Amino acid sequence: MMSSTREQRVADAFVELADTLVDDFDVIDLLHTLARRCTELLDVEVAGIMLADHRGTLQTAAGSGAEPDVLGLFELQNEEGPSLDCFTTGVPVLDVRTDDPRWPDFGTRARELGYGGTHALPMRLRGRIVGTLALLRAAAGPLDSETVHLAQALADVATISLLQQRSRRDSEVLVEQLQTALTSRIVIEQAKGILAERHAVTVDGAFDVMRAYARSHNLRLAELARRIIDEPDADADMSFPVADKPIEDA
Amino acid sequence: MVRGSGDRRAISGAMARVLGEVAAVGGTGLPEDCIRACARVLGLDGVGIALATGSDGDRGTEPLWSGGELMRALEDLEFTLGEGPGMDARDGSLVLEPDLAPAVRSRWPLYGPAAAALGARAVFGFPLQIGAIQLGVLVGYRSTPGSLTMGQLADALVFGDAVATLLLESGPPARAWPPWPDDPVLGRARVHQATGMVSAQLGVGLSEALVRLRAHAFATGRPVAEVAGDVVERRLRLEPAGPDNDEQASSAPEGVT
Repeated sequence: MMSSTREQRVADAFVELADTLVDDFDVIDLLHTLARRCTELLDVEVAGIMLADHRGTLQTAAGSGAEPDVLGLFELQNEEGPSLDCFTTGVPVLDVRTDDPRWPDFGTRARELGYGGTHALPMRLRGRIVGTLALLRAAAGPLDSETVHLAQALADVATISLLQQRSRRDSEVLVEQLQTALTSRIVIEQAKGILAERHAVTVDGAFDVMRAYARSHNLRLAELARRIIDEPDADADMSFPVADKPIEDA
Repeated sequence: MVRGSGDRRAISGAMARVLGEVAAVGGTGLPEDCIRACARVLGLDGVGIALATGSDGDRGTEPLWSGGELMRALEDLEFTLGEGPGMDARDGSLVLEPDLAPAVRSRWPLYGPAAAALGARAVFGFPLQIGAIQLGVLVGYRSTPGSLTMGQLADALVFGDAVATLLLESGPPARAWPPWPDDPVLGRARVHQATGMVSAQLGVGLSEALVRLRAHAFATGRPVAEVAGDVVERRLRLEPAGPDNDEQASSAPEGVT
């Protein structure tokens, strides 16, 4: 049973995290919030979040403290450690003590820094694992189940926000790409017309010349097209076939 | 399964079924049959999809797909006249015009009667948005006047979301879009080419060249696409305005307007 003030703090923590679902927000800010709330509400000294980059390598993204030693301890987990296992398997890796034979280097370092117990929880949504939340305690031993559930719930809310933010970002990038591609196509057609008129060729013939020129001068077609539109002598050194007979009617 | 942007909207079973098929296709281009089926569920006789172009003072749309001749003609009409449901939806407005009858005063003094004369008696415009970004517009028409029911409106909004998502998944144009009859890649290619030609012919900028093209189309009562085709095929040449400021043009063989 939680005290009402603790209940309130838990509720506040969720509200704070969930707020990020609605607005545009800074991801690092979100993760720092998560880390800080973990140390306030759970009986742990340090909380750290590691996220996978596009190559699938875990990178330390945020922590509740900025001590380089602790950060180093997290970094170690790129190679070995409870976080890496948690990320790979997608299941919590709890109650890891400093003498755990699975991760000797990690254990040694943790002991040196005074963290007797490490617990790693997955940040996942429906099968997508984006990283891990690692909790460090001075004392060795298991966390009680209420703490584990709370920690996982906080991590879950943060994960949802993270994925939604990425999805929104991806969409915006896609929209920009779409509109840029469209605008490029339009200016290319306009440039064809300009050249066709200036040099008395068909638009297809003009396009052939543009393509050859772009290739030999290592230009993208859209860039060349913009120059043709904006600069009066962009076509000065382009060679056009002389028409066999005049295109206009005599 | 399909959510409206933001809050959850109920959609009809018929629309849900068709959207299911749309989702199944996703990523391989516009599924024309599915789009047409969605239009039918909405009680529309045709729909067209256009992408938003430009920004600030230079906003327009570029047609991507039109279902049928009349839809194409309505598209061109808007482009020529510079007003209509697509242009209003381009600015983010939901456009519902259930009756374009000449007797009823239209919000579009030029487009309204002309569209009605072509056979469109009701028109609707839906902005296609991703978040706050204007991606394009979806325009639909009916050949008999009538409003969308609340159910059809709800369906239409979800359909718009689905189309917007499809556009993103299918990637930039020129890879997956179905062909138009006069150009395999970009529906208005002729118009852009003609714009370039007129710009060089008259020694004016592209914007003004387009205005001249549209003005000529309007003055002669022909679609811009057709006028553009004549310019590109060199059957038509726009001359600089004469001393009394009338739009002049010469056309082969020795025709003079």
